[in-house]
Amino acid sequence: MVTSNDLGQIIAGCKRGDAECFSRLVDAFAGRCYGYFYRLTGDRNLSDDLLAELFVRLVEKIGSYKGGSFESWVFRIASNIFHDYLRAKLRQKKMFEAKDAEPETLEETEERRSDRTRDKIDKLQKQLDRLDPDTKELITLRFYSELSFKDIASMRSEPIGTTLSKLHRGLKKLRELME
Amino acid sequence: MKPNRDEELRQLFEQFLTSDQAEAAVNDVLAGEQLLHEHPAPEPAPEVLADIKATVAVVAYRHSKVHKIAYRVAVAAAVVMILSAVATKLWENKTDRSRIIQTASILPTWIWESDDIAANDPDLASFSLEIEQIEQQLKTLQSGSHSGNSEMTIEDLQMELVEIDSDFWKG
Repeated sequence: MVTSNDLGQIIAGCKRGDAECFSRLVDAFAGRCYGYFYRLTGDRNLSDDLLAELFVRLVEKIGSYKGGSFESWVFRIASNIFHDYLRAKLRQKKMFEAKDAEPETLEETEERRSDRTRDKIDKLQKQLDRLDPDTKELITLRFYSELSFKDIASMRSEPIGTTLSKLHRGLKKLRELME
Repeated sequence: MKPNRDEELRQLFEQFLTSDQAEAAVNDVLAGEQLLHEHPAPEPAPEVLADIKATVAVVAYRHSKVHKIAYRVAVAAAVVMILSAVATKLWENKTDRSRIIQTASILPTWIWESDDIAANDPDLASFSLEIEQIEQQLKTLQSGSHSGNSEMTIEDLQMELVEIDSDFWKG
C-alpha cells in the first residue's frame, strides 16, 4: 500500500515521463484494478488485456490529471475502459447478427472462454454474475477502488442516496445468494 | 484491502433512514463486503505485470518523445510567426515609403508650389511661346502688313496650330 506522499512522488515522476515511476504506479494499482476487471468480466485473459489498456491510457492521460482523488481518476478511466469493451462487444454482436455469417458467434466465444475458466471461477463470482450489471459494477467499484460514496456518486452522476440504496440492496442480495 | 469506514457509512445512512434502519443497513453492507474480503479475486500473473511494465515504458518513452517534438515544433512555429510578423511590418513600412515616392513622381511638388504653372513647366512654356508667335503672325497677316501668298500662310499656320495642340495633349 503506497502512502499519499509516495503516491504524490509517483504521480510527479509519471508526469515527467520517468519509467521507474510508471513501474511503481503499476505495482500500486495493478492488484486492485485487476480485481475490478476480473469481478466484472469473470475472465482472466480479458482482465489482463483490460489492465494493460488501462495502464497505457494512464500513461497517455497522466498530464491531464490536475489533482483531487487519484484513485477516483484511475477508476473513472478503468470504468470507461470496461464500458468501451461492453460497447465493442455489443457492436460485434450486432455485426454478426447483421451479416448472418457465423464462423464463431460471440456466444460461442464466451462459452468456450467460460469452459476454459469455469473451474477457476469461485462461488462469489458466480453469484455476482446473477446480480444486475449496474449493481455488480457498483459493488465492485466500491470494494476495489475504496472510494467514498460521495466520489462514487459523483462518478456515476447520481445522488448519493441512490448509490447508497443500490449498494445496500445489492450486497444484501449477494449475501442471500451466497447462503 | 483496507476495511471501508463504518462510521462514515452510519452517518450517511442516517441522512435517509431512521437510526435503527441505518444500523441494519450498515450491518448488511459490512457483511456483504466481508464476503468480498473472504473471496479475493486472483492477482495478475507476474509475467503479465512484467509485460505491462515493458509496454508502459515504451509508451511513456514515445509519449515523452512526441511531447518533446511537439514542444520543439511549437517553439519553431512561434519563432516563424514572430519573424513573419516582423517581416510583414517591415515590408509594410517599406511599401509605404515607396508609395510616397511614387506619389511624388506622379504629382511633382512644383505643381502645388508654383504660382505660374505655364512659366515653371518647360514644355508648357515652349508651347505657350510657340502659340504666342503664331498668334502674332496671324495678327500680322490679318492686318495686311505681311507680303506674299497670304492664303497659303494662313493654312500653314492653322495646320501648325492643330499640330501643336495635338502634341500638347499627347504630352
